[in-house]
This record gives sequence, C-alpha cells and structure tokens, in this order.
Amino acid sequence: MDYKSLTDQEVVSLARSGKEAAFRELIGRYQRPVFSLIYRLVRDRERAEDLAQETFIKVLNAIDRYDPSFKFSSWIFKIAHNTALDQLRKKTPETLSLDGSPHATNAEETSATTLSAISTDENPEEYAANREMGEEIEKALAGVRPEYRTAIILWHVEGRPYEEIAEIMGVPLGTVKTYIHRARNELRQRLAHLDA
Amino acid sequence: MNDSLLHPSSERLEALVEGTLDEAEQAVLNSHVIGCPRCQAELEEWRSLFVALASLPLMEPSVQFSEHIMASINLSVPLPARVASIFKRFVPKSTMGWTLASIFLALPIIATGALATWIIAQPWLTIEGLLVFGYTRATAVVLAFADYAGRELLTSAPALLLSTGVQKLIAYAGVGQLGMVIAALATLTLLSVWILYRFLFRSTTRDNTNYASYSF
Repeated sequence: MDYKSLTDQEVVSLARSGKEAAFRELIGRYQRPVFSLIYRLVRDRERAEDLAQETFIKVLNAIDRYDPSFKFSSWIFKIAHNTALDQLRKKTPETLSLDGSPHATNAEETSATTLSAISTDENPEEYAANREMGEEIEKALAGVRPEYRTAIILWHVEGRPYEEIAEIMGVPLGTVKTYIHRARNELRQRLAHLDA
Repeated sequence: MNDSLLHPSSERLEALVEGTLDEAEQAVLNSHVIGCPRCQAELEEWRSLFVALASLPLMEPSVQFSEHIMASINLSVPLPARVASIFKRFVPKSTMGWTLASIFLALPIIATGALATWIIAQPWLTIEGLLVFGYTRATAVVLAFADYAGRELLTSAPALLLSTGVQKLIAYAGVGQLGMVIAALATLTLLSVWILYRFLFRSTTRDNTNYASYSF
C-alpha cells in the first residue's frame, strides 16, 4: 500500500487497526516539524530529541483516543508544544548553537551534535551567507518568549492559519495575533543591525 | 502636523506584507509607500523579516529517532479491530466468492421456507392449531424448567446455609437492627456504584478545544 498518497486521517485509521507501517508513516511525516519546533523551544539537541520522541510516544500510544474530526497535525503540535513548555518550566534553557552541543568535548561529539537542516542547492558563498543569516535569525528567535516562538514558527515555517495555532496553543485567536505581532516586532528590532 | 498622521502605522505595513488587507487598503498604502522613503524602508524591513522567517529550515533528528519511538509504542491491535479482522477473513474477495457465499446462505432459508409452506399447505393443519400446539408445548417446557430449577435452588447447600444464617441473625439482632444494617449496606453499595461510574467508567473531560486532551 502506498501510504504517501493517503491523508493523515486515513493513515491514522490504519494505525488504529494496528498497522506498523502506518505508525512509521506518521513518524516520517511529522518528525522534522515536531523536532524543529521543540528544538527551537528548548534549544538543546539531546533534550529536543528526547522530548520529540516523548511527544510521538504519547500521540501514538493514544491514537485510539484521537478524534478524527480534528486535524492530526493540530493534535501532535499541541502535544509537542505542551511537552516542550513543561520541560522549559523545569529547566533553564541553554544558549543556541548550530555548531553542536556546548557540552561536546571533541570534534566527533561536536559533529554528532551539530544540527543538520534540510539541504538546499546553494553554492559555497550562498551557503555561508545563508548560514550566517540563519544563525542570526535563530539567535533572535531564541530571545523571544517561548509562546511567541511557537506561534511564529507555526505561522511562518509551518504555514498554519491563526485559527489552528489558537487550537494548538489553547489560547484565544486574538492572543495568537498579539503573540505573532509582538514577536515580529521584537525580531525586527533584534535583526535591525543586519539591514544597516 | 503630527508625523504619525502622515504615515501608515507599523501594524498596517506589517499587514500589507502579510497580505491581510483588502484591495482598497492595499492600493492606498502602496500609493503612499511609492513616494515615501521612510515607509519604503520600514516595508522592506518587514519583507526581509518575513522572507527570513519563511526560510528557517526544518531540522533532522538523529537516524535512530523513529526506531526509538517504534520500540516504545504499544503496537497491540485493539479488540474491536481484532474482531473486525477475524470477520474480514470470511468476507469474499471475488464475484465468484460472493456468489457461492450467497448460495450457501440462501439454501437454509429456502429449505426452511419450503418446509413451512408445505406444512401450512397440509389440509389437516391450521394456523390456530399450530399456535395452540406451540403455546402448550412452550408453557409445559417453561414450567418444567422452573419447577426443576426452584427445587434445585432451595435444596442446594448454599441456599440452606444462607437460610440458616439469616434465621440466626434475626434471632440474635432482631428485625429492626438487621433492617438498619441492610439499609446501611444498600447506601454504601449505591455510593460505590456512583464513585465507579464517576471516576472509572465515564469518559474523561476534554479540554475546551474538544478534540484532544494533552494530559493522557
């Protein structure tokens, strides 16, 4: 069966009937968005990976309780967001680095903990410039409140509408709009030096 | 004149880039921005920010990521799905299969129908006669079973033990006190049933989005 052509609801339905391939398909579809969201909230690769796995385990073990009349993506992002926020309330976030864990003691560990983004066709100059720009944006993003970060990532990176973000974050629509507007203003100020 | 009255607000420029303004508003803003270097600069800042955020990459977890999850999830098939899969095995998968299954299922119905028609067609048999016969036989069977079951129940060891116990209890405690004990037990039972219903059997309350509770 070609799972790639199925909708989320159809894959969930197959997962509910115990099809292992359907579980794998759901992981494949959402592992990068979920991991990216959590990573940008907790800013530590190992913790982000643990929390992303925790999110999937919660979701997939409770797949029977999922209400198909709502979007699966909203459900999984909601759990990812809440899991990461719970963790943030327990621990102080660390400094963001795209160059590997600050705890790495040698080149191998640094390499193993370096984040790999989805590659694009770039020449070395473009890659270096975009990488620098990317780091600046990530740094600026790391400075805004976690709730703002979730809203901004869901709107700009995931392309989710305001209404769905409100469902995911469990806040009113107006609050989401305020979060996103304030986050953009903060980011604009933090990135102003790049335009100069 | 106040400078803010001359230029569109930052929110409106942000909305222009976001694409949430209607056509008329867009036209008004665009006509202003063309001749205003200050607003052009701010609009460009907003555009750059939107482009930069949209270009944030998705990050890859480690290669063992999905295997760790698969090792931790419960892949057991739920009971309704298991029952459904058992029945599914008997569902024919071809037209020939459906035809054979239909014949197989129809044969007993046809045979029963033919037998019933033959019986009803007999001159010595009437519907009233059949009903009276059926009623008499059924009543006799039910009465015989009730008689047998009642006798067995009353003469069984647990029934005799219970009867002796109740008699002793009445003699010892008196009917009034025994009634109070029974009432107290009945109240406790009702309370227990309510607690079980409230906390175990009733579905958990969902959050206000009414689609998925975070706390599993």
